[in-house]
Amino acid sequence: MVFEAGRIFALVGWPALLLAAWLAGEIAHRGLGVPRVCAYALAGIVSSALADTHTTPETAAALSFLANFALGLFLFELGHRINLRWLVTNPWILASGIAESLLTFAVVRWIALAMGQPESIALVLGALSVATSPAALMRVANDLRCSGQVTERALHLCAINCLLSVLLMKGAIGYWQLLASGSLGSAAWNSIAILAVSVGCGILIGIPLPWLLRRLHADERGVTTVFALAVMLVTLLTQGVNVSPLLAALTLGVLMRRNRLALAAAQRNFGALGDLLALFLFVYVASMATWPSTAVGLALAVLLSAGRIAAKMVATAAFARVSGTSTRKGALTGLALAPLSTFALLLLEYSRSAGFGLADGSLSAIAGMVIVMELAGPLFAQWALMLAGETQHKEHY
Amino acid sequence: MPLETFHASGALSMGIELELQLVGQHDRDLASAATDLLELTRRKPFPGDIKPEMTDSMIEVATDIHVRHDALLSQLEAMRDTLLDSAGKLNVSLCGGGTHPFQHWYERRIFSAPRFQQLSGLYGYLAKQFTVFGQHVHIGMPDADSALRVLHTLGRYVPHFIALSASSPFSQGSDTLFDSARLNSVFAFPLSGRAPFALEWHHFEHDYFANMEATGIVRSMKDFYWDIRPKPEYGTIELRVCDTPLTVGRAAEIAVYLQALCSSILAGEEAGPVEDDYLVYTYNRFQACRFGLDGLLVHPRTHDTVTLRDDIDATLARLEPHARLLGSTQALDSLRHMISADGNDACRLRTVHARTHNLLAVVDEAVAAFAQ
Repeated sequence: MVFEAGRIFALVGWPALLLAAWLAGEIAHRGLGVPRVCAYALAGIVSSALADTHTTPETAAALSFLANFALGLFLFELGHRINLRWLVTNPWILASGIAESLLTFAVVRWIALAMGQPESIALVLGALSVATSPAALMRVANDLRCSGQVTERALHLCAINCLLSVLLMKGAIGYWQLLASGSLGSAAWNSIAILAVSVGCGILIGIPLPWLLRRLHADERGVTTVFALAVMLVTLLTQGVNVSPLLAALTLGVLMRRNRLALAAAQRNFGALGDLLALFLFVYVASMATWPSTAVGLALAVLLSAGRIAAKMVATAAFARVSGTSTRKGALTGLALAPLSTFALLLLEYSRSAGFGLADGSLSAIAGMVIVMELAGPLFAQWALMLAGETQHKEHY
Repeated sequence: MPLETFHASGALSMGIELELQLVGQHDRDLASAATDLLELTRRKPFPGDIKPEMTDSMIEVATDIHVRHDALLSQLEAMRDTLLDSAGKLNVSLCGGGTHPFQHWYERRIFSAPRFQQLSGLYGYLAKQFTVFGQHVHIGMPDADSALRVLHTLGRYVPHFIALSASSPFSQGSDTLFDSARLNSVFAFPLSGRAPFALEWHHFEHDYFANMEATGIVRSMKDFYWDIRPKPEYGTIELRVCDTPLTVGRAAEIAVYLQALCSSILAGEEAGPVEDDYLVYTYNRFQACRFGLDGLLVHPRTHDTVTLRDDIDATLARLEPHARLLGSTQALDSLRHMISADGNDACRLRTVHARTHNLLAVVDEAVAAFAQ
């Protein structure tokens, strides 16, 4: 066997970087009261600025898989928290989720158009802005052990806006395809097929799993391990057939929730495995983003981010009272939705690999927005949850 | 602040306070939802009283004053339905039960109100450990001396109420082997236990309360966490040993059992209390907490040993004439059926756990029972 020293040394940088990011996260959290994920993102941004992160296609594919797997774990957790029945007993939650998503889409698209972006890019920007990062939101909420209406609503709206974002993104790409091919059928088919196959993959894995776990009388650690492997399996399966691994993981989470009474509870956040993969995810995604090269680019990023948050806050505040909470908590829910989904970048990556040239064009604009919200989003979310009084107080006895 | 005058109230009128658990939908752990639930329920008139409790995963509801079982039960059901409606809008579940089976006490948040923050400062971790859920029953007394006489005569029956209401077999993730683990959290407080033996109100007021007040330890009756305490401002005695049952129906049955017992005591059917009755008090109380209906009681006078199940059954049979007069025959029959057939709520929860080996399923059972 040939000792491939070169390749090994090329990868050694990752654990060192992750360790540095972890240390930075602890300092940020304990010393400064800043969410850990902000520090992880900062570490990713700094590392990509300092070092050439260019890797071989094989390494890039492996890293991308790992990132999708990590994100899949978060979506699984989110799916596990989603109570579909709540959306029926309180339909205003669903209504506020749809309103919040559509308003965000409209406002961001309008700002992009007003700032001189072409329609195709404005559509993609709008679609990607809709999604809140489940990873950042759950991380912040779990780090501070949040519990309350703002947390509960933000997580449900996050699931709704992620789903709508994927649909809008497919719609935007479909629109582009329509322009290119002139076939409406192909565009619609594309969106529906991707949605159906993604959910189908989740169901395929999700149905036999509880049966297996029950037969094995799996304990907490066993259930956690098997869930993680199931998420890995759907990630690979969906990537293999080029559909959304994230929707599949979300579906899997929702299905497992239905069986929670029969199974031992999995470790929160997948225990140390979840911590490690989250660390990797935030560093990796941030290392892919690049600072806007011009002042105009930065201004656009800030403006889009501000418009996005304002749209979310206005919509959630408008539906607050009718959905059973105060206007203030409604607005704070919108603010908690600030973290921009890290899968915006993964979606772009995916769209590019799926052969849509459009994504490349909007990459610099969206990358600017991602980098601003990578750092600011979790801070806003933390701020919202603290103002709502839903974080654990530090009490000393 | 001197002790309030005892305002005599309608004899044998009754009222119930219930502390309820607020439980999250996704993990069935306690949820910090009291503030949101209170805000939402106050938008419309609430059919009773509702207020916050020590930590923000609990709320307390109270009925008006009632004389009859049917009216008491209707109000409890109306309050429950209103609460369930609001809780549904907030993705929160409500349930009874004296403890939450697996919550971690250190994760609880003290409700943000000055009184609770002050108690938390005084009692430290005991305040958070006090995230336990009880039922308090008030019975109206014709005068202060009768209140004290009934209070001390009831001492012998305190284990009955513990065993009938026991619904806290699990705590902090384990089976405690107790039917009522909740009361162990109450014992930790320095002013818990039984009321001092005084049968005349002026002795109680001047020889005990005034002296205690002079020590600076207490300021009002609220500072005593006794098993039964007089409540002079309402003109009642308040029984505080019960776990919150899983259903409001059981809560009402327990209240009218106490009402019938008080009726019998006021009618002079019981021997007057003596201080030596309390020699067996702590032991009998432990038996009820630990073994529930299977606990062994030592009679304070005869020193005979009898199971709580038999003693309750005999008492219920003896109270039949009073129940007829008070309109609570059906409720007491239901209690007799429970002790001979299904067992108390602790049994019910343990059965679910034995079947599922899952504490989430135990909470689910409690949630389903409350909505029944």
